[in-house]
Amino acid sequence: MSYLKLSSLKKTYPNGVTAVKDIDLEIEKGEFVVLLGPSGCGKTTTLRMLAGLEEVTEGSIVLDGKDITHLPPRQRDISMIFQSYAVWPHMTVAENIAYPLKLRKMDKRAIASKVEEVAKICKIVDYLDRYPAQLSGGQRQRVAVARALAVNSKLSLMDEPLSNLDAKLRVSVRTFLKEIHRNTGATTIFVTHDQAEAMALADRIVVMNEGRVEQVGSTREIYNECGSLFTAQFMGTPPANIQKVALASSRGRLVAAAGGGEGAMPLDLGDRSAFPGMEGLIGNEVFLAVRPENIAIGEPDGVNEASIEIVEPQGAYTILVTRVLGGEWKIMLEGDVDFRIGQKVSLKIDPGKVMFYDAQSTKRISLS
Amino acid sequence: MSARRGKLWSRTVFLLILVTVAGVVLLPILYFLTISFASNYEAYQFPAKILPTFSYPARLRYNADTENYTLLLKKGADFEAVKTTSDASDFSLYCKSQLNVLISPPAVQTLFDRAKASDQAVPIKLRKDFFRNYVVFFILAEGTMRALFNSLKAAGWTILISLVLGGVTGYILARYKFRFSTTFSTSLLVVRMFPAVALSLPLVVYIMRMNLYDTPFALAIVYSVPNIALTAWITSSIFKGISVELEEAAMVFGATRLKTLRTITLPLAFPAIVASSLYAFLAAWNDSITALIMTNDNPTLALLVYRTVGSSTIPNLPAAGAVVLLIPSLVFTFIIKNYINQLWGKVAL
Ligand SMILES: Nc1ncnc2c1ncn2[C@@H]1O[C@H](COP(=O)(O)OP(=O)(O)O)[C@@H](O)[C@H]1O
Ligand SMILES: [Mg+2]
Repeated sequence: MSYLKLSSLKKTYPNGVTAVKDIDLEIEKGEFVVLLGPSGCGKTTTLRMLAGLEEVTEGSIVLDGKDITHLPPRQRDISMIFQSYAVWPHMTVAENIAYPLKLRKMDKRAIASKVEEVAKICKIVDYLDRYPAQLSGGQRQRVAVARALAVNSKLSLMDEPLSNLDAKLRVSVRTFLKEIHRNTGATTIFVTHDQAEAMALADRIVVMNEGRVEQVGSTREIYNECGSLFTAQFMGTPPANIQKVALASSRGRLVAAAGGGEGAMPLDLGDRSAFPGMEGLIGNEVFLAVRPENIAIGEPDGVNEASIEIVEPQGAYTILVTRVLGGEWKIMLEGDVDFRIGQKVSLKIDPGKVMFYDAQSTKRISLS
Repeated sequence: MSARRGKLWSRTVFLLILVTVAGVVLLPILYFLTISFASNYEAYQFPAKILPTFSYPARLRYNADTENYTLLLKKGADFEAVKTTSDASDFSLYCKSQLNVLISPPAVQTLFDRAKASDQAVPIKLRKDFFRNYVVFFILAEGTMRALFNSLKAAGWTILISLVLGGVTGYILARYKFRFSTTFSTSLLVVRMFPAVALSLPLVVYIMRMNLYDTPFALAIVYSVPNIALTAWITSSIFKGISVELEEAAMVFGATRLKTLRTITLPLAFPAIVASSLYAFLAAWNDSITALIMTNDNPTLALLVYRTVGSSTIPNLPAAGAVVLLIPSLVFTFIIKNYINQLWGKVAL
């Protein structure tokens, strides 16, 4: 039996919006799970149901063997870091951290030493007597972390805790949160719409879309083995190049022609032998997805020729934009490579990394 | 260059406006305060003094031909004869009633003797009993103390009723969306547009039925009607400003709803609660019209002052009464002012 189990969880708001439709999820003790998805996909709603701040419409939540579906928040033994941090402005930092401990009827000396302990971890010892208004955003955030850390709850929830920090701080706090998790082993559910954050932090990522779980897996699985077109489109910066194509076989090679026949040059995907189990797909329309970093560039040799339209140097890598099958494709090359606009090149696609999706269900077509 | 001159211009104008406004507001208050310390004699003088006086520059002259004494008071550059008498008691009474000067007939006799010994008017010192008007107000206006307590009771009940009902309404308006909630909150303000009389007349009927007529509590009910609306209006905007997440955080970390209200919401709304109670206090404290309708044997202090004004031809006594009325509200306002601007960590929230 898993530590936390969400079964057929559903939430319909009084105004009729169904924000969460049927979520099943199992989480092991000590896991750091990230709920990832675009804005409005129901992440916050899911988290608030876990916290008891939102009534569950259907389904159940079982934490550590106990059904908490309809318990009030205070009886769930859960801590939470809010997007706005929600540190109480009329209490000093020390009082903020101590408040939950007082409610737990801890004795004064134990509270003082606990406050001291977490303040040290979060590096806010010097600010214990200050009011939140006297702190910077980053410091306030650490107060929120310290407060959650102090209660040592069964489950730690975080709703986009980094989104109000500036880009640089976000990365360092991210590392800090990961460090804390490594030390405490607290079971954590972290909500974000930022895939970089998700990939950096997660033991497992839960990709959500329109109130449903799209895919659950490790960072590697989610990124490289996108189970659905949505995930392929959502993950990666820039995301995978996606095109609706008709597959054909020509002289032992697999060729993708642009759907709708706009007269664009078909794309040579490589030798048929690189795509075992392809037979059933020849002649079908499918979605083709290729990640920008899985395309290499060579001298023009008559195969998959394209001209470069835009060059976006990024320092560590370079993004090229070309026209493939009538659509705009991005190609990511390592290093600061020198290309001219209008230059003719040949695209070399890594056949092992090409992904196909069913045109109707948009689910991954697995090749075996 | 011209920008700087423009700035100087606007600063000058700004300063002028400020001084004018201060003058318009402060001068009458100062004059009012001075009047409350003025004797009857001073109150009739023109031009009136801006600052209160403590004693009179005076002379006493012995009139050998009529064998009586004349009191001369300084008026402008000259001295004016204000009282001529041969009787020490008469002189003493005049000093007390017209000049607010307490001087016993034997002391007057001593002065008379000094004047008689001299062939000129002798300078004498007449020291004013500075707070005489206030003493007279308390003696004259019978039951002042009781009226003061009535006022305090009415104000206390008004604060309590307005805060409890208005605060709850404000919280509901801020936290729960329901149909017509904006219509409702706007209509709250409409209640405030009714003159107090319009509200109290129909209420009198009910209050009489409840056997509450002529009690401070009944007054408080009438005062509360517009104040509940105002309190709801003020507190709802403050409650709206208190992020729901602050309350939710408390609940997630182990607090009940009630505990959250007590330890998070109310302390954060404290400035608004205090401001509302100030309004409630002032409404109850300063009213005399409603009290006129709603009380009989238990007037409030404001009503008492109002009556004194009506029965007095000289403004000094009513002014003293008004200052008596003003002091508690000033004290209350000043105590409360600190809380209205309450800031945690000296930074605005
Ligand atoms: N209190 C609410 N009442 C009605 N609809 C809501 C409420 N909160 C969120 N929603 C709707 O539910 C959907 C999911 O919202 P949310 O869970 O906040 O998404 P996310 O956190 O992934 O951005 C959105 O369409 C949003 O408009
Ligand atoms: Mg959200």
